[in-house]
Amino acid sequence: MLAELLVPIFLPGIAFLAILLVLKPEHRGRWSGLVGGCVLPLATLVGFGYEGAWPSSFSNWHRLPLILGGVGLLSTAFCCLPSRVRRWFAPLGLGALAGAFGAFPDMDSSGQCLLGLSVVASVKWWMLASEATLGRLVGLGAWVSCVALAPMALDGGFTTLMILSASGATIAGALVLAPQALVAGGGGAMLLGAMVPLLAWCGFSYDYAEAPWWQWAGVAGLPVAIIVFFDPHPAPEEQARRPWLSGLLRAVLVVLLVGWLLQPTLDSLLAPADDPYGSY
Amino acid sequence: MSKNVLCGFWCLLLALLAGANFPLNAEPPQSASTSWQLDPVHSFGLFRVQHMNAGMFWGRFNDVTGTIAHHEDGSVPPQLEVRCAVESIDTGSEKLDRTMLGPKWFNGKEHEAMTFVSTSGEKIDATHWKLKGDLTIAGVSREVEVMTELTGIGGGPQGRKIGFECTVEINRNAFGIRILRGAIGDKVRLVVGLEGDEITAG
Repeated sequence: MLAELLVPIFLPGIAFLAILLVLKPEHRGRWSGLVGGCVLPLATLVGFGYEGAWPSSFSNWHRLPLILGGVGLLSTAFCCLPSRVRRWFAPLGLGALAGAFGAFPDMDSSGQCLLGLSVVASVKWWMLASEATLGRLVGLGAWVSCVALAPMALDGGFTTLMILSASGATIAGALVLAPQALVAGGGGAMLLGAMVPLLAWCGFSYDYAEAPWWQWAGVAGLPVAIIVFFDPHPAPEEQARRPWLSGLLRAVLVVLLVGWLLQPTLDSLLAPADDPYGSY
Repeated sequence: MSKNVLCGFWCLLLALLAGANFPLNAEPPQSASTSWQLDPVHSFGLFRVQHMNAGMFWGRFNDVTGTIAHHEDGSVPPQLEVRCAVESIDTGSEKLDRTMLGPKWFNGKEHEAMTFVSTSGEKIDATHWKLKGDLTIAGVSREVEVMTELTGIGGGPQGRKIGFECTVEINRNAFGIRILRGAIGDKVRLVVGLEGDEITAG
């Protein structure tokens, strides 16, 4: 039972990190989106294998790993474009891909448009953030979002999305660990920018815990808070008073924000209940 | 016998044959089919599956609707159209209900109901039939044989009621529900209790 969880969660991150480390540092930024985008669908297949759930009839959530694979492919293609073209082509292209294929339950065409627009805004923001912070905090932000999405998916009864979110967290972690993997406007930032809102939309569509939309949106938007709280341009050393205290306060604020967003989910998950299936 | 009486007899026989309009070698007339609307309060669905190769776990679907068409002389198998709302699942644990509604189990967001529509049947005795029909679970349809028992026809001041109990054993893999094979048994027994109210004209 433990292997069913741990292998699909950690395998993508380990595989991703290993491939990134094999690549030359100057190539990592371009290829990180493609590698990450391919690793996640593979992790889904591995998860199917471990759960003994393969072959499975098509379900709308299967679109998620397929879209992420497409995002990986497109992000690599966009990285070959001049940066002034890529600046808008990448968000629009990835948003169009997500909006066209992201037909999750209870979503009509206006819902798909909204999904596409949210991916456009997210990818654009992540590209700007990766430029502003030189990629330093972007991976951390995605990691926090994915870690927070996992319990929400579990509470909503969608254990596979929990595994996918946790896998996404390992991908984000690997991007942080591999030097030069998160370059400004690189494929990694595009992948994270598309992955986080897609995970949140998919989770919201299948949610049986009835978490409000703003909770899903808030968790997907956590990286914004993290980058705002952790100023990427710190004051010069001579002006900063007690920089450790300021950093600690900011970290506490982020933890409080995450705690506030997740409180209903954690209350529900930690409530005593007998689960006769002993599930996950 | 007088000529008049004999003539009258033949005339009467001809008139009867002409009026009835069926051949002399026809089967005895069948009773008319009565239609019944399922009473969702007194109808339910139960499922039973083995957990961790140990105990048998039972769950329930509370919202069961549909119709029954039945010839009360039992000459024709009853026709059932039954719909179980997946979201009415009740395992006694709210968390488990959510898990079971998830996309790898009943996938309640994409497939709101499980349905059974009988297509033919074989009479076993006065109150039992083996009904064939299409069972649809999580969007996958399979033909199944359902043991069906007429538990009674009764009623009260509000009208007549009919009761059936249907039992079928399925393999969940055939319906695409393959998750946690080994931990959760493949065979699932479905027991559906039906109570219908007679649909009267007007």
